[in-house]
Amino acid sequence: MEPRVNDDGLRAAEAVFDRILDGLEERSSSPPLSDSGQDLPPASRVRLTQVRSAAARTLDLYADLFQRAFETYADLAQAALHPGTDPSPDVPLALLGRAGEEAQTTVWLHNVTAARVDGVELFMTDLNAASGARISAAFASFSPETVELEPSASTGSILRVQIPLGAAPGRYHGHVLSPALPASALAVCLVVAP
Amino acid sequence: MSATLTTVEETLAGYARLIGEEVERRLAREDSPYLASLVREYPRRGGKGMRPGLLIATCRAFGGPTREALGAAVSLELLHNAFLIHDDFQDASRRRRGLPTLHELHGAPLAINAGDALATFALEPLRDTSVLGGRLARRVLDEVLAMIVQTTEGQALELGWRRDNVVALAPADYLELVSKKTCCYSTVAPLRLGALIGSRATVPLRSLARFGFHLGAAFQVRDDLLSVMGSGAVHGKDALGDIREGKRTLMLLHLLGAVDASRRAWLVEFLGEPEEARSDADVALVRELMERHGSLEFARAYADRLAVAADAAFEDAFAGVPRSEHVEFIHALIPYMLERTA
Repeated sequence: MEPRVNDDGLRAAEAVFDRILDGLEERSSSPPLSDSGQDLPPASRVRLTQVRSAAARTLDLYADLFQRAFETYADLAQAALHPGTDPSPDVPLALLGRAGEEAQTTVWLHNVTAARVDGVELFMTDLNAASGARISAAFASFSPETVELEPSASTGSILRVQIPLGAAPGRYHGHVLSPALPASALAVCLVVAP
Repeated sequence: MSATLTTVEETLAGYARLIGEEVERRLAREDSPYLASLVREYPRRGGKGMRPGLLIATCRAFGGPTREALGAAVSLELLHNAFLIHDDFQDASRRRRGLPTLHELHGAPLAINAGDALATFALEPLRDTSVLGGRLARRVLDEVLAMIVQTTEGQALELGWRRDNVVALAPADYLELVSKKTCCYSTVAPLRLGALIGSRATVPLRSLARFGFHLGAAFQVRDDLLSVMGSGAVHGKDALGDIREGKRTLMLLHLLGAVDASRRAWLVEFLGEPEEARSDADVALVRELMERHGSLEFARAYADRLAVAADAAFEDAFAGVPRSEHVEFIHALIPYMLERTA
């Protein structure tokens, strides 16, 4: 091999570059744009490039606006079709009472679909305090235990917790769950006053 | 140092600072003791900023703002650092940017994990469609993914050649290797991504890619030459590391074709030995043979020819683009590739 580079070496390089470029463009799924305008004089090509770029930016803007509007509509439709997938409220349901008393509140359910929903069962998990104290789920009850919801209607179920006599004062946390709403968990905070 | 080289290095330093701050911001949330400092290690050592610089400059040359190019530029920089971590381990390199490599500092398992994490973090900026919009962001992601495939194919080719001690190679094979392993993510992707973003996907990218291949190949040949010419203190890597690692550089391929049969047999045996068995004396001898048989001169001449071809490809790629400081900077990268010392 001579310590000089001839044109054959460079031509070989060009062939390699073209082959790898073909592979790159095939994989990137970015179809090469047609070279329309390549025969124009440079000044015209500059203007053409700028006009194309400005038009593309405008189209992108409208496309994004359309896409966001569509996605918002899709999210709303999804929430209406599958009410269990919308997020539960951030604020926990509050209950207050002393040991030996009954604390109660109402759990509201809203049917945002156009179909009747039958047999929505509710149950309460154990309530736990940071100290390790626990109030069993057996002390909680719902009235009614199972609810029916007409399309676009709301109904309430009363949650009662019979606070055990020996329950230590403090904050107890738990959740209201329903097999009909597997993606949702309604937080409950029971404060046992001293 | 020429005025062009100084100007290019100053511009690159500006881009490196910009990207360094953005990379730091994106990696700031990491707080695991076994990951956080590791993923920040290489980016904090500072690189040349060539890849993000070329990407942003190309975006601006085509009329786009820096803000729009930043996500892709950060992505490329993080990928580059991820590749380096794994590359250093695969090559058993001991120094990177003047300091011990990540696996030397923390051990191979943690270093490999940090490389995996960086490669994943690199894709995060590309998920954001708020700046580029969904259509363009998807095309940018496609380009980056295609580039990663090419780069890993190139790396596999190099590692395979070394494992199997492949020596029947011509300069075209070397160019295939560097085109995939180096050019795709160092020059071709920055140019294509910059033009894609700057023009909002309205210009052909093929001529830019052809310029990128010439520029990147000249860059790699220069890198190979620096490895056997400069001291480790200057280029921040192991002195004569490429020879010790048995890398199939243009100089090595030339040497294999230039020496007599007995010397060639010795050279093939040297390349077939495990890296740790290659003595300092033998490594130095290979370096001397490269000098004696004109292999270094051959590589220099090849880089010169690539630069001339890059110049012609540049004129073609930027023919329809208004002249600006950004276009001038990109053009000045051609002589920079040949003159740089680190």
